[in-house]
Amino acid sequence: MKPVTDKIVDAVGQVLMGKEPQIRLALACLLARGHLLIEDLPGMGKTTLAHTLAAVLGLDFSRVQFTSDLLPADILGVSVYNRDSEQFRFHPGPVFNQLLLADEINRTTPKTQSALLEAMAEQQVTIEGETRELPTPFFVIATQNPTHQSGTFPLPESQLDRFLMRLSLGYPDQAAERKLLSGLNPRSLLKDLQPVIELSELLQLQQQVEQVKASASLLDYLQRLTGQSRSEPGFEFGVSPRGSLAWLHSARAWALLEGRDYVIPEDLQQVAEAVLGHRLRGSNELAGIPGSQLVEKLLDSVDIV
Amino acid sequence: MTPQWQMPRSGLVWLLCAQAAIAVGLSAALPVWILLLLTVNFLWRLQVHRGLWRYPGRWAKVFLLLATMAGMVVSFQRFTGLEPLTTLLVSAAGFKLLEMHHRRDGIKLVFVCYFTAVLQLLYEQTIAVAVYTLFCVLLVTAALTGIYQRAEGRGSSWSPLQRSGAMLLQSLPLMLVLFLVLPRLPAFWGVPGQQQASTGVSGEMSPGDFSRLGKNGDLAFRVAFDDGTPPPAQLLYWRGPILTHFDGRRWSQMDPVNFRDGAHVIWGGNTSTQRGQHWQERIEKSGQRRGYTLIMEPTQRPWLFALPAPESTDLDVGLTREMRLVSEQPISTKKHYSVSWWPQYRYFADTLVPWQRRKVLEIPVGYNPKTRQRARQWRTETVTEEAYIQRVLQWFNQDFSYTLEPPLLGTHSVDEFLWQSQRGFCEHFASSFVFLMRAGGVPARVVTGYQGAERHPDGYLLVHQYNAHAWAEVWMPAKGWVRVDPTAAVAPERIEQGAESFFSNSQSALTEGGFSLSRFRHIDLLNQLRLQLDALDYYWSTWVLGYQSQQKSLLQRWLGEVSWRSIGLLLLATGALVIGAVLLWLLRGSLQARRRTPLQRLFESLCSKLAKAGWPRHHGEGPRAYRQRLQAERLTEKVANGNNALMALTLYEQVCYGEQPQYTEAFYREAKRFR
Repeated sequence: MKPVTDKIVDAVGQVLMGKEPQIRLALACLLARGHLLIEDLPGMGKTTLAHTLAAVLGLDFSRVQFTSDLLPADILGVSVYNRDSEQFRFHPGPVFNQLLLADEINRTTPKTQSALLEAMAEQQVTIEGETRELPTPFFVIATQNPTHQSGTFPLPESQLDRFLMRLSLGYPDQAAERKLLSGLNPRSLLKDLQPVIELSELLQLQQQVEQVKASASLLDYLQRLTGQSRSEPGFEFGVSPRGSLAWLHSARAWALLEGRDYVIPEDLQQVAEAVLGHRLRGSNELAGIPGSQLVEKLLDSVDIV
Repeated sequence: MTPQWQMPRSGLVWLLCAQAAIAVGLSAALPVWILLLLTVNFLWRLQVHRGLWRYPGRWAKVFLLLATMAGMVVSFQRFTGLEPLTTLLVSAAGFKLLEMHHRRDGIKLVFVCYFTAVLQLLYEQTIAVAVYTLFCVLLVTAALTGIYQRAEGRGSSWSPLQRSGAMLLQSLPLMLVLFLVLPRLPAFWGVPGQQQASTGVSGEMSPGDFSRLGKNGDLAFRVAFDDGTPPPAQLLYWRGPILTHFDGRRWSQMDPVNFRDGAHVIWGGNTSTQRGQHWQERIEKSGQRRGYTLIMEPTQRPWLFALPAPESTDLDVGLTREMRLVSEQPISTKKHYSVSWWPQYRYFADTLVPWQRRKVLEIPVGYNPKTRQRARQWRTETVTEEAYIQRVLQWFNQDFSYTLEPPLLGTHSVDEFLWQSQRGFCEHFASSFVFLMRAGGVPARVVTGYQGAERHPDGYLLVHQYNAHAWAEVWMPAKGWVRVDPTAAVAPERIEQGAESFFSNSQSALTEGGFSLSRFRHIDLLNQLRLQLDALDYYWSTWVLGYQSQQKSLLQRWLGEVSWRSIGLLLLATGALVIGAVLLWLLRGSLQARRRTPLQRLFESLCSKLAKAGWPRHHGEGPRAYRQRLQAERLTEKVANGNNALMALTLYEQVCYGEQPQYTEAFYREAKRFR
């Protein structure tokens, strides 16, 4: 009998073919109660991944297409005067869903981008002076186009930091693409998908993530890595404490997905690119190098003992 | 942005200031024309700096160079020696200003300036000069920081000076350590003698010499007695050059003679080990041995002064056959030496060597006939030598008077003094007394030096030029050489009270010696000030300049005798230590990270065993990934005990990350089984 997490991955994999590592990472991100940023070119399956995850996990789902004229109220909701009851009635926005897909988040203005901040960090929103709790679990999947495309507002570092992981899907391999071409339209598959997990089970899994053990040796290794990123002159700034916490948490979720109750260095290494890729920046001579290579460089420079 | 190689402007201004300050400090040693030339130089560079003038052309520079050379030939007639070389260096540094375009030129010039700044200390080592030299170093350092300051750098134009001051303050502890630790070794090369006029007792004596010195208030030397109590004034005869030869007018020293009974000079005072120094054994000293230290002002002459029967253990101090001390080198800077003395002494009492006897009885033929005749007459009238001496002294006491302004004397100076003027200064009395003795057949010689001293309230003695004195020594059987001071017979107060009080109420006050507070010693406040300043100078020369001769440096105490080689080794070792410490400090982070638990050490040894077998673990590779790779590469089929290694890796993961210590034993076992 397969563990439930593998069932989820398999179910998503039937729609989004040949992307198992990314699916696992996305699931790990969800289990670690983080939010996910998917950065890739249009048409790579970003939205499909979000859709499929929502369907397989049985979560409320809503999608917001971010455009340059989108306003915060369009996401958070608005109070409308009801003539019958002669009262203002609050119409909750799409943010009051368990899974929010913020499509093309970097097409909107920073003002609207930052409206998501409180929601993502505190799992609550304050509208018209009233603080409202968001549903549990609350999971934001944002997609963005590479920033060099026209009509984009690059997310500031502070906002990037709110996303636990950043993934890019990349082109599928030949076999997966052939399967995609010869099979049914994924959209129609999506309709037939049934949830493979109860909400209570999902919450339980999230609980379990926090109980995954991280030994002293592992924390040593983690600290050596973050210390290296802070002292090495090649990095403009190192991993923040929030970054190292996110890293450890992601590694715990990854270990759980692997069916272990303890974290090993490989877990840290597996999630490193997704967790750190958008948090590190090279200085001077390394300025142009993408985050993934910086992470590789970092992992290579520190031994596990 | 300024190019890297260009000279920053603030650095240039500070460099100009520094060079001007150094030139002012050295101005006493430089000819006047070079100062004028340097001034023109500075103004020119300043105009270039302001963008008003242009740099001089090649021919102008050649002309300046040739003119300086010619000027030096005219001024010095030579190119060696301290002053010509100083002039050469200072003028070359000045001219460099006119062709300084690049930063590297400025840096070169800064180092030359450090050197010329310190040159000042070769001429004088007073506090004032030391402070001024430090000021020059401050300016040069400011120039150096200014040169390295980026042209667009923030901060006022004073910031190089501030930084330079901070750097000098920071280097103070190092300076103190070096001062205390490093021994003062003799220089590789001797500093060529300076061509400075010097006052003081010369090696000759003719009428009028000492009366001129009598009006000079300059300091000759200072004396500190070890027990703090100097002997009474009438015993303070500081013996200097002994004048044996008389040509009728001028007394001069005997040429040094090495004879059968030993060399003329014995160096280092310690003579017992040297062979053949027989004359040394004929000195008898008795009573309590006491010591004193003498700090002599520069005289440019090699002789030293000391109380009778001296003995010094300083290596560069020698004792001559005439019982006086000499130095190996002319005294060009303040000279410290320590001497022992005995209250009772007797030397050469047994006999006078015949050649020496001849020397001390010699009188020139044809001079002073009247004196010769009278001497012979008196000698026949008296029975013993003592009686003869007494007879002469009595005569001096009755008919003669002591004065700072004696009348001039002609050819037969002794005759004229004794039978006509009968007024004179110490040299007249000493000269005619010795002449009388020799004419009467008693061996005698003139001793020059200083007599008496001023007592400083701080306990040391000051001997001034006006303390210069000449007296006589006669040789008597069984007594040896005995001091006879004819001046004491004429004017006993001069000896007992000291020269300054003797002359202060009667005759002309001190009129020479430049600007000197000693001229105003009758004003109490100024006299206090003079004594305070003198104390400052005394402690400066004792504790700073004379540190090495006062006591051995710390290094000598730790290491015994030191040489340039041991110093070099020590500096090398210190440098290595310092660099090592810095390296250790820099590497401390990685060293700490290298600390391992026994578990990790065993894991590493397992990894290195696997590496030897041909399956090294990659840097940063975790145990699980390693194991999977080894499995994929079929380790178990290729290496015996490969299973143990794989098992050990699994167990290591369990123990180290799974926090399951119960597997520790198993891991140890498996890891050791793999070979």
